[in-house]
This record gives sequence, C-alpha cells and structure tokens, in this order.
Amino acid sequence: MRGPALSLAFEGRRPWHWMGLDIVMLNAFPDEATRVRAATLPAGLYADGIDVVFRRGSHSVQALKDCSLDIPRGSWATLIGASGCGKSTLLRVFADIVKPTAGTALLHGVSPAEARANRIYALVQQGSTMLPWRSIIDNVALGLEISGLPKSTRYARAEEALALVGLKGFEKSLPSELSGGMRQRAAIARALTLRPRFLLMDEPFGALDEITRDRLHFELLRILEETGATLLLVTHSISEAVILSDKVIVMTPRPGRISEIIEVDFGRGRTPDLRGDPRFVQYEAQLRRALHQPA
Amino acid sequence: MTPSLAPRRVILPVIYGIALLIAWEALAHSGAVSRLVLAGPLEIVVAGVRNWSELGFNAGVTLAQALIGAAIGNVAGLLVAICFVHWGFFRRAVFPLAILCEAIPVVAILPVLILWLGNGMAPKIFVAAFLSFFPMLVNAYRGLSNVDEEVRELLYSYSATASQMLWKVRMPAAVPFMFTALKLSACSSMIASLVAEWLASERGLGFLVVYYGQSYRVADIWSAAILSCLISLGLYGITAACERRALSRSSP
Amino acid sequence: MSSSLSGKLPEFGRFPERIGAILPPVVLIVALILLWSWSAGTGLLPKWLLPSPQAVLGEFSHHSATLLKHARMTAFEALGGFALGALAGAGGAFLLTLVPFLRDMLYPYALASRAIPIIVFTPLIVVMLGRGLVPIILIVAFATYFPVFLALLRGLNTLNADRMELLHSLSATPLQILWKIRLPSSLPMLFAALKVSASGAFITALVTEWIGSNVGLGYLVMVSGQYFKLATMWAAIFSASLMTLALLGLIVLIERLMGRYTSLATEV
Repeated sequence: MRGPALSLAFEGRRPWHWMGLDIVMLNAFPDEATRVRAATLPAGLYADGIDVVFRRGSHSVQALKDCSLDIPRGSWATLIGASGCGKSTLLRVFADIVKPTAGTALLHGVSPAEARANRIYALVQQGSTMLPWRSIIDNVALGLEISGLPKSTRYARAEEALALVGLKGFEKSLPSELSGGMRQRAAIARALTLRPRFLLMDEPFGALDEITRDRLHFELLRILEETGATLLLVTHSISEAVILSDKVIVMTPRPGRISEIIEVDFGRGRTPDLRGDPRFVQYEAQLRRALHQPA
Repeated sequence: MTPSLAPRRVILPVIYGIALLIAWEALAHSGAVSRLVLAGPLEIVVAGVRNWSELGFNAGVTLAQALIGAAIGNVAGLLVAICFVHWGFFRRAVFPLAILCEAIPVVAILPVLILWLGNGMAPKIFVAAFLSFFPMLVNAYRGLSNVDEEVRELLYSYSATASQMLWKVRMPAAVPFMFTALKLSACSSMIASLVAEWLASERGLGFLVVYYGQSYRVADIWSAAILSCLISLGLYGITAACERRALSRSSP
Repeated sequence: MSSSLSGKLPEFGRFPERIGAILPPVVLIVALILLWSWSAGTGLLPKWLLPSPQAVLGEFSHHSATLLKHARMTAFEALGGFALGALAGAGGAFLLTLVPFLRDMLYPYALASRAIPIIVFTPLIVVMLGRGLVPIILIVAFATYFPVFLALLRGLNTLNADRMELLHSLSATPLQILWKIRLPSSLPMLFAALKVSASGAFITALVTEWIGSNVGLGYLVMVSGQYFKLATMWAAIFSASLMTLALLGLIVLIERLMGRYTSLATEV
C-alpha cells in the first residue's frame, strides 16, 4: 500500500515538488499564474475578519462574526462547537460555497474562488455523497471527469486512490452494496484523486459508528502524512478533534465566533495508543472547558 | 415471499380468472341478459378472429397516433423541464400555468382541433401529445431538481459547468421520475387516440367501437374494446419492463 | 447552513417572496390574453378559428342560462361519478388489505387495471344502458375508482417497519393497525390520486357526453363546434376548466387542512 501513496505525493519531476512546495495539480490547473502564486506564497489557510450574514426576505442572520485564523500549510486544524455556531459555514467560505459579507479568506494565498476554479482543495461531506447509479470507481473518478481528464488517467488515479483507502476490489460495486464506512472511504478517495493541497472535511465521520470512525481516523492521518495536505475538518466530537488536530478552533454560536484556539502537540506519527497518553485526557478536558464556557 | 405462498399467489388469480370467464359464458347463454347487449367470451374471440384484418389495420392506426403523440409530448415535456431547471424566471412564469393547464380537460378542445387541423391523424396526435406533455414536464422537472444539496456542493467545488451538472447528475437522477411519466403516457396517449376517433373519423379502433355500437354488433364491439385494452396493457408492460431494466442497477 | 448554495440561485430577497412567486405567471396570463385580444381584433386570427376574448366573455352573459343548464349536468355527472368511484375505490382497498385471500386472488387484476382504458367501453355501456346520466356516472365512477383504489392499496400496504413493530408490541388488532397506522400513512398517496382523478372525472364526463348524452358541456362543445359557433364552444370549454379547478382547489384545501397527516406521514 506504500507504493501508490508515494507516487501520489511525489509524482512530477520539478524541483519545488521535492522541496515540499508542490502543487500536484498537474492536469487540473488551467491558470498558470495562480499556480505559481499559490506555490510560492507561504501561508496555508488564512482568514481575516470574516463576517457572514444570511438574508432571507426581510430578516437576516449573522452566521459568522469577525473570524480570523492562520493555519500553516501541511498542518491539521479542526473546527468544533455546538450546532449553529457556524463551523460548517466557515468551512464553506474556504470552499467558495458561501461568500463572506466581509473579510478575506485565502488558501495558499489565493482566493477561495481561484482555489475552486483550479481545484486546489477537495471537499468531503458528511453523507459521502455517492451517486447511486455510478459504480464506486466512477464515483471516485467524478472530480477528474468533471475536470476533463482522459479516461485512462482518470481510472488509473481512481484505482490508486481506492488502493490507498483500502477499497481495492470494490471498483465495480455500487454504493448501495457498500457499508457506510466503506462509502466514506470512497468519498475520501474521491477527494484524493484531485491531489488536493487542502482537504476540507465537513463532519466526514459523523454518520459512522465509533469502531469504524476510530479506524478511519488513523487511516486519514496516514494519508495526510503521505500527501502532505493541509486539513480543515468540522466535527462535534471532542476526541476526534484531539486526535486529528494540530490546532483545535473552538467556536461559539449566535453569532458564530472563534472563541479559543487550542494547540495540540502530538506531532506526527500518531497511533491509536494516543488515547492512553495522559496529555490526551488533559486536552479533552481543556476542550470541554472551552466549549462549555459561557459566551 | 415464502415459497409456499408463491404458488397461491399465482394459482388463485388464475382460478378466479377462469371462473369469471365461465360465469360470463354461462350468463350470456342463460338468456337472462339480452343477446343484443352481452356477448359471451367465446363469441367475442370468434368475432375477433373472423374480423382480424379490419381490427389489425385500425389498431395500427390508433397505435401509430398514440406512439407519435406520446413521443412528441414526452420529448417536448423533457425539453421544457430542462429549460425550467436552467432559467428560473421562465419557470416561475410558466410553471403555475402548466399546472393549471394540466388540470384543464384538454381533451374537451378536440372539436376545436378538428376544426383547425382537419379530421385526419393530426388532431389525434396533438391530443395524445398534449396528454403526455404535462406529466412528463412535471415529473421530469421534479426529477431534474431532485438533486441533493451535498451533491450540488460537491459538483460546485469541482467547478462543474451547467451542462456537466445536467448530464452527469440531473439526468440520471431524473430517470425514475421520467419512467413514472412514461408509464402514465403509455395509457393516456392510447386513451387520447381512441377517444379522439369518436369524433369525425373513419379509421381507428375508437371509430370501430362506435361504428359497431351504432349497428349493435355486440361481439364486435367487445372484441375491438378488448383489443384496445390489450394494446394499452402491452404498452404499459413494455414501459414497465424497460423501467425495471434501467433501474435495476442503481437500486438494490 | 445547508441552504447556502441557494444564494447562487436568483435571489428572492430584494422584494417580498410572495410577489416574486405570483407576479410572473399573472403577468404572463395577462400578456397572453392581450395578445389573443389584439390578434383577434386585427384579424390576424380568423374569427372561425378563435373568436376574440370579448366575444367569449359576451357568451357568458348572453347565454348564461344555456351554459348553466349544460354545466349543471356535467357537474352532476363528474361529481357524482367521482364520489361514487372514490368511495368504491377506498372500500375495495380496505377490503383487500384486511382479507389476504381476496388480495392474493385479485392483486394481479388490480395491477393490470391501471393500464386499462375504461373509457373505451363507453359505446358498449351506452348500448347496454342507453344514453343519459346513468352510463356516464358509471364510467366516471370507474375512471375514478381505479386510481384511488390502487393508490390506497399501495399506501395501506407500504409499511413503516418501526411503526408496525410498535403497534405489534402493543398487540394491536388488524383493524386498529389499519385505522391508526396504515390509513394515516397512506393519506399522501390518497390525495395524490384524488387530485389526478378529479381532473380525470371531468375529462371523462366531457368525453363520454360526446357519444353518451345530449346535454352537458362536452356535448355543447361538440355540437357548437359542428355549427361553427366558436364563442359558445370556448365558453363551454372555459366553464368546464373552471369547474375542474374548483374541484381541485377543494381537494387541495382539504389536503392542507389535514396537513398534519399529509405532510408528515410522507417521511418514512
């Protein structure tokens, strides 16, 4: 399983690929200027003073108020908070699905709109979002199909990604024939086919049982380490946030604001033994305190 | 379904059908009902066989009208539904009218159509098309817009174009809905074609039934009416079989 | 949060939502009527093809008595047949649900009946019963019966396993299950079928009048067509449409009033 992973991360021969400045978006990158700019700017995910106001008829709702954050490239961040705190909205601002009313958001120094047009990020949603009439491999190759890659490349990359998430042999299956956990793996594989610099994940494990979730956590971490991608993940599980983050961003509702950012210092090479670490319990307690703080 | 129940579900209806036919035959022979009104099943079959060339030709005319009308109506309905999905303003202006029109007894304007289009096949095709158009429009629109929010976000994150969205997501998602409309139109186009022949027509099964009715040829009326039902059932069955084949892959 | 993409759709926000929904179709209708009136006035459309809207409207005031006579007949046929057919359809569906023997015996026929154009038998029924009210009501009833029967049969037998388990655990009788679970859950399907058969009832009544009667709006449309009295014909068509819409409106109103069943029961 190591082989395809390496080729995913280090395909391409240009020097900056070896220096960790790779934008491995060889084919799905129509805009050369954006690509160069994105490759040379240092920041990972950056937001400054993001406000989002939803308007419905005459009344409006402030979903986000003055959210600022700075996540270095290659690191892992989690958005956590009670429902209605705007964590999904903030993720969607980076995905260019929600346009902020005020403020700046940048991914590798480029705007969300450019990032989307050049497919710098990949989105993984809660419900795995499989099209029921497509086989697993066709579902996984969907993003590449939309970007107009030839069929052989599409399938080669989709098979690589499927192997990476441990779904080899299920290419021809239909989504309905797979378990929820396997479908979620396929959704992660689909995101990986784009060779994204950013994984934006909106409660990707929310619908799974705890046993499956546990296993997928560490598979995701392994993939992240192999590809060097930056992670922004929305969750409402405290332990998930600790396991998957370098930074946990705690948000409070009405209006959605960032109340606290907690650094989690577990470094790389995390294993399931993490849960036995005394610091794990401390981080959990710290997070719980932050979440229950009156606004 | 348990295996012990399966034969029961086949045998009971068959027994019932045979019993019904025998009772019908007996009733026709008993003289309780006037021979001018009721024909026995045997008599009807004999009449149908004796008359097969006339029935066959007229059935062909009716079927052709129904099929052409259904094809025109369904294609037009689908095209307008696609326009609805892409042009919100057009949809908001036209959709309420379309729903209104669907409720209106369209067949009633057939006499007008005969004035406009003559008494050939054209007005019948028009009515068949009209009756197929609205169900397809409503169902196809519902299917095309039946796209999960998450799927829309995913495709949006890929910067998919409107036509990619249409062909890769909307159309496949609408297939079950379109089959609902097609099944409806299999029957309604046949009905439209048959009924339209009652007025100002010299050909077709609908005409035959009325013609036989005026000359009290009871067995012939029955055979023509039953043949229409069989054709309608056949169209429906073929559509349903296509549906099962088309949908067998996506639903478990 | 999940409705965020709707921001990309044409915005309702600028002016009140309701006006945004009502205005376009109303403008379109008014424009169509103006176009019709204009083209009839300039002689672009020959009078024998489509009379002006004023002429059709005049027909309503000048010959209201005639129209009313025919409309009353059609309404009687359509509503009577609709009520009869709906009741019979509901009764049949209950019977087949409660008696498994009958269901096993009749189910294939019930399924096939969906595709049978019952209206073709009109000439036959006219031969049997003569022209007039009874055969038309019978045919309308048949045309209503099948959709209602099938929809209710399907609704009553599409079971939510959780709800059934709950009632089973309370050892409810079949009749209690029918009344408390099956019927409420089948109401959305029933109303869908009622709406379809409501316009079906009028269509059937109008069409059967062509060969089965010498009163009624369908008959009026046919005869005035034959004598090229176009204004009368269109007035009759519009009256029939208005009656259909009235019945539909009534059904939709009842559906709304029972919204607790008709909207919530769909989520299985």
